[in-house]
Amino acid sequence: MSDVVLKVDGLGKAFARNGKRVAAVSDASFSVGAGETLGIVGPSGSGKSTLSRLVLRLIEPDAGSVRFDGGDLLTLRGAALRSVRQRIQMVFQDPLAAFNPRAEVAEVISDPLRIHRLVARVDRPAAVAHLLDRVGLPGVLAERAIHEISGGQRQRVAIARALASQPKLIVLDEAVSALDVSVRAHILRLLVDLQAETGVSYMFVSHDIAVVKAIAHRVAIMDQGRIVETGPTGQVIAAPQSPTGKALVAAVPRLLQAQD
Amino acid sequence: MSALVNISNLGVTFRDGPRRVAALSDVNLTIEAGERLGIIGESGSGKSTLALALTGLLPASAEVSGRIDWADGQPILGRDIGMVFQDPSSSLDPVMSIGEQVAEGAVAHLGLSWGAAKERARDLLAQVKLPDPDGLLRAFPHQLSGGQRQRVAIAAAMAAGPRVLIADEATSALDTIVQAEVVSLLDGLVKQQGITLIFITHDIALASQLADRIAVFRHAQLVEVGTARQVVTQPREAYTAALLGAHLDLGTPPLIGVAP
Repeated sequence: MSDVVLKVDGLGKAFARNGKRVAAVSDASFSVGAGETLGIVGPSGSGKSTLSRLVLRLIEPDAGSVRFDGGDLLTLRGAALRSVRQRIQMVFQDPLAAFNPRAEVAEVISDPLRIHRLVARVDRPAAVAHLLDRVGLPGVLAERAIHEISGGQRQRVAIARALASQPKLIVLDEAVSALDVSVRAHILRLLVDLQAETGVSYMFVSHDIAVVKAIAHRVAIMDQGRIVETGPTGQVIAAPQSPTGKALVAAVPRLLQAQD
Repeated sequence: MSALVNISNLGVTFRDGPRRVAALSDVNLTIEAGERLGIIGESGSGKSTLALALTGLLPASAEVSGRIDWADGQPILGRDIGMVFQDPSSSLDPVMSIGEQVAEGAVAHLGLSWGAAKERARDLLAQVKLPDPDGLLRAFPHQLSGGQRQRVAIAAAMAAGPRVLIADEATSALDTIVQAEVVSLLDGLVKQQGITLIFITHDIALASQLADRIAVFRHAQLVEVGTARQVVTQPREAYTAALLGAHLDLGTPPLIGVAP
């Protein structure tokens, strides 16, 4: 396999509930290669979102290690952590909740350019215009407020912002789940094209194995905090080995066929 | 089959600042008694407005034109029509016991005593295949999972023995495995009791599995209506074909090539 961008070993996180410790993620191990998409699929409460938050270090694990781009992500502090954050970006399900709704599109996209000192102030409008163009949005959108644009446009802005700091890995947590099907198809195509251009890796979290099949090279199936099955996406879907994998495959709504 | 309701030239507009925006425009549709009708559309297509118009839940600011003629007179919401919404956390009362919420419809519309209504609630909770219905009567919504809460919402909608059940994106917030279970539950309930089901969803495959007929909405208009088989295998309208083209299931070729 090509270079490994992310390597996770024995990752664990428990939360307290009613005085008891409940394991949200237990002993999770996986890796993501350069230019690769790893799909993480599982039912509600299986630990997918906790796993992505651990990888982003939005929460701290109880056990295990995370190596990113050759370094130990979990021991980083201060400036070193901030510098790594430039190379790991995220896109969430609801960009209206992720952004200040009154912020302008240009502001949202140029924040990472400013914070990570990537582009001088004078050059930022051009950089924003270029990023908007790359995600298929017209330049005039730069002056609109986040709340004024459509859900699909907002998710494109979220992707433009994630791309702004030229990350090696983007964690996408249910990033297309709230979109209409036609918009979803465009966003998935955009993600695939951007990956081909830049070699960025994706950790693509979804409850929908059909969406994962469209975009992920490999898939990890989660249930009750554990990764219960991993493998090349086509292979896992064709012959799932775990009960959860079988249930996820069986539950995909299927269009009625002429011969049904 | 006989007509349950005739919708003719139905128009609904809402006020948006100084303008009026059409949420439904010139809709003509007959819903047959006992059929399972899938209503398909993307965000803003008017599909939920149709449900609100049928149930008399439109806000006072809505302007309605055209006619909705029920064969057996205007039905009473909660008695003749049961309604299940997307988010059971907001449709269920968080501080009312499950038993009271399910029993309430039977008390209000069937004139049962609370004792008798609680017994009916227990039977309904068993019918929607929830474990330990006796214990559940005293439980509260926060103690249940999302899928269990939606089953409670279905039980509550069924409490007064309605002739029509309207499910508005009732499975959209559930993971695919739970969605498949809830769809199969709805299917069984309406078949067994001869209830007319109006199943509103953005997922055309899901509708094709459940519905006898599918009506496709776009931009406030009814685009086409036909048997589920005709609409998904021989769509008459380009928009329906586009929706089908954007659908993803396990038979869809992946967007990506081989792993890098």
